[in-house]
This record gives sequence, structure tokens and C-alpha cells, in this order.
Amino acid sequence: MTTFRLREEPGRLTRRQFLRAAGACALGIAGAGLLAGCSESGSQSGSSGGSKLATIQSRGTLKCGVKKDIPGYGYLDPATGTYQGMEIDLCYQVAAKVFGCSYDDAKANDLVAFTDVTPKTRGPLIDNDQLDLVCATYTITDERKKSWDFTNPYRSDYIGMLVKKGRFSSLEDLDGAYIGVSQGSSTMTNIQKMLQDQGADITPEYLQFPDYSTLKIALDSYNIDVFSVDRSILSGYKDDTNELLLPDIKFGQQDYGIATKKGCDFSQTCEEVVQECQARGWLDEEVSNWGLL
Amino acid sequence: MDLFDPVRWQATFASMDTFWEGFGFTLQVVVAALILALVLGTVLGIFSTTHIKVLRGISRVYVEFYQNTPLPVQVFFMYAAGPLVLQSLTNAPTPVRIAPFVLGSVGVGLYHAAYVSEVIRQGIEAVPHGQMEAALSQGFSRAQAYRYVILPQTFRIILPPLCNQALNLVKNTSVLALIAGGDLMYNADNFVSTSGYLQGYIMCCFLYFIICLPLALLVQHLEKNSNKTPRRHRRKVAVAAGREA
Repeated sequence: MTTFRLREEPGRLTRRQFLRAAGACALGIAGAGLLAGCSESGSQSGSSGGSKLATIQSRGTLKCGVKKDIPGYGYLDPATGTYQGMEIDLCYQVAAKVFGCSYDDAKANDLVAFTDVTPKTRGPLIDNDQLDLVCATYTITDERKKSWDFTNPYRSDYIGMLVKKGRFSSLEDLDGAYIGVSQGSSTMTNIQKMLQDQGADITPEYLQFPDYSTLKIALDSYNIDVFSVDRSILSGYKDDTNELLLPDIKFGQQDYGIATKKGCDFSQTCEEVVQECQARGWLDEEVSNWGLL
Repeated sequence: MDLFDPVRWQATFASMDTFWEGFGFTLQVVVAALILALVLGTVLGIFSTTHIKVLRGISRVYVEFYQNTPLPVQVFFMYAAGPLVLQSLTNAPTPVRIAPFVLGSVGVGLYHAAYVSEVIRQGIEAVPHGQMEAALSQGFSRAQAYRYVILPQTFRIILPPLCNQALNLVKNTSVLALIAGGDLMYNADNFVSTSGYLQGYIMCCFLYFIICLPLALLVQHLEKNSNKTPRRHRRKVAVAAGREA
């Protein structure tokens, strides 16, 4: 091997040299790109902090990320192909503010472009500017506040316990019952805490399921007695055969806020909209209009 | 690299209790399902080699049904429809829940009985007719012919595929995780989705491996043994049997 390399012509690259050079090139390019990316995003959050609102205004539509499968909040009606729900209406309120028109005009003129988001996509879609805001049962947490701006909560959600009609009437009835919860959620600890707070000395069994539809099937086939997740999600599974157990016991509070890009002026606009809607009772009206649990 | 993060491994080992709990449950399900599969499979396999058309038909229909539908669908159907069907059958006031243990062992057992039945049938058919005729002509009774001539040969033929079935059965019990069955996979899944540590799955694989490896070794041993059946001893027995007749 060494003798072979010694015999190489001085001008020609050996394979190893070539690889080394290529690697260095790749590293250099990646590094340069990274730097450029940093400085770009840096300048954007710095100087274009004032232009985010202007960007939306000049574009003419507000790009919103919403849920498409949570009736009452964000739901894509398959029959009409339109989004419906409280969060959809709230997006129109923001659009009305941004474009300086009335709420009804914003709705009539289609000033909002909706995109459906999932828990996995909603953060990144704000980060890469594909969406101006996300209004999709997005729970405000301290952790998330580090990455995005959140408005004050426009709605507080609680954990609900969906049961078959007429089977249970008090917490004591749940002794030894099977409670189905979603895998990896904090529902179980919240229920245990609630039972303690309520002074209910009962020990239900907890079963964890991979998804909501399986939970619904388990409830319908009486394999579990209680289907327990956030009420916003439960609203999609509510039907004539089931009911919310003790809806007045509110526990496991989650505050939903509108998320926007960290540090842009548009965040302030959203905050104002939420506060105005709150002040004139519009949010409460929406809650009762959409029959939220 | 998160996979080698000692903190995460520590957390995994700290919750070994739940893993062992699932391990024990899976083991119970495996034993029950294996017994069911072997017994039912043998019966169905013999059915499919008899000359009675009805029995052959039953075996055929059963095998085709179970071989051509996915196991998760079968188990899920039993899970969702079972309680209500049992209620109407037994006239119980409330739907009758099926325990995950029953669901797992019956669901997986019935499924693998179909495969075992095919293995048995092929094993029996693989021994040429002439063997039976020869045994009978040598004065063996039919039962003796089966005991000393046909079955030893069948056994050797079916052992490897039967082993595959047993190993698959072990792994297929993980279908219980779909319906919160409390088995090894379910507990590992819960651990991973709560903590976010993929180490749980590695531990899960390892525990399944612990069940499967001895099984594979046992069958290997049996296989070797059945090949080693002493010729002289067998001949002695055969001669004695011939003299009796």
C-alpha cells in the first residue's frame, strides 16, 4: 500500500487524499450554510420583527394552523369542505384585526388560509414561516413558551370522563372500574390527584391504549368503563349512548393559547384580539354556541 | 447518542418490575396458547388425513379461515364483539368481559392451531403409504405400526416447522398490546411512551429473546435425539412385536 502510494505521480490525488479533501469541502459548505442560516434568522427576528404584520398585510391572507378532527374547536366538515369551530372563528377575528375589516367581512372574503396541523407539526410550521399562527388546542406550557409566543388563554380545557349512559352517577361507583387513558398522557396522574382531592377512597384500574379510536371501541364494547382524555378530544366521541361523568368536577386544567413566532410584532396583535374577545364576552358566546364540554 | 445514555438505562432498569410482570404474563399466555394450538392442531391435522369427507371439510375450512385473515383483526374482533355476544348468549345483565389472558391464549392458540394442523398433515402425508403396508405385512397391528413405524418418522419431519410455529406464537402474543392486555409488549410500550426512552423496546426484545432462545435450543436437542434413536433398540422392539403377532 505504502509503496504504491510512493509511486504515485506528485500531481495526482490518492484515494485517501481525495476523500479527505471531499470531506473538508462538505464540512466547509455545511458550516457556511449554517452560519448563513443563523445570521439570516437572526436578522429576521431582529429587523423583520416589525415587518411580520406588514408581510401578512401585503400578502392579503392570514395563514393559520388549526385542528381538523376536533368538533367544536377545529373541524374540517367533509360534507362542505370547510373548517368549523371556535378556533376557526378566532382565526377570523385575528384576520379582521390584521386587515382592518369586520369579522363578517373576513369570513365572507376568505381572508384566512387554513392548514391542518398535528401535535408534531404545529411547532415546526411556525418556525419555518409556513404558518403565521397556530390555533389548535395548543396547551400553553413554560417549556413551549421558550420556543414560541403564546397569547393569554382563550379557553381552558379539563379532563373529562366519558361513560356509557346511566351506568355511573358518583365517583364511588368507579371503585374497581376500568379507566381507559391514552398512552403517555398525564391523564392517569391527574385522575388520581382528583380522586384524592375529592376524598374518594376508591381504586380503579387504569388501562393505557395507543389511540383514541381504540379507546372508543373499548368503551362501546364495555371492556372499559371510563374513556378519559381532554374534554376537547372527547367532544369528537360524544354520542347518544354516552355521557360525561360529573362534568362539574373540573381537573387537569389545560390552557389553550394562540402560538406565534417568538418575538414578532404579530404576537402582540393576537394578544390584543384575544383580550378584546374576552372582554366583550365573545369567547363565552362561542363556547356555548359550539356546545363545548 | 441517547441509546447509550446511562441515565436512560438506569431508568429502564429501575422499572424492571413492570417488565417482569409483563414477562410473566406473556409466559402464561404462551403456555396456554401453545397447549391449545398443539392439541387442536393435531386433531385438525388428523382430520385432514382421514377418509371421512366431513372431517376433512371442517379441517379445510378452519385452516383456510385462520390462515387467510390477520391475527390482529381476529383478536380485535373478539375483543370488541366478545363481551356483547357473550351477554346475549348467557343472558347476563351486563356485557361479559373477556380477561386478556383468555383472549390472548384463545386468540393466538386458535390462530396457530391452523398452522400446526397443516404441519401435522404434511408430516403424516410425507411418510409413504408403503411404510404402513409393510408394517402391517410384518405382523404389526395398526396401533403398533403407528407407534413404531409411522409416528417416529412423522415426528422427525414435523419438528422443525413445529418449532417455527412455537416461536412465532411467542412473538404473536404481543398482539395483546393493542388491547391493553398487560403483556410484555404492552408494558414496554407504556414505559416508552411515558418516559420517551427507547431503551424500553430493547429490553422488551431481550425478554422475548429469553423466552424464544431456550425453546429453539430445546427443539434442536429433540431433533438431534430423534435422529439418534438407537437402531438396535428399535429393531429389538420391532422383533418382539412381530413375535407377539
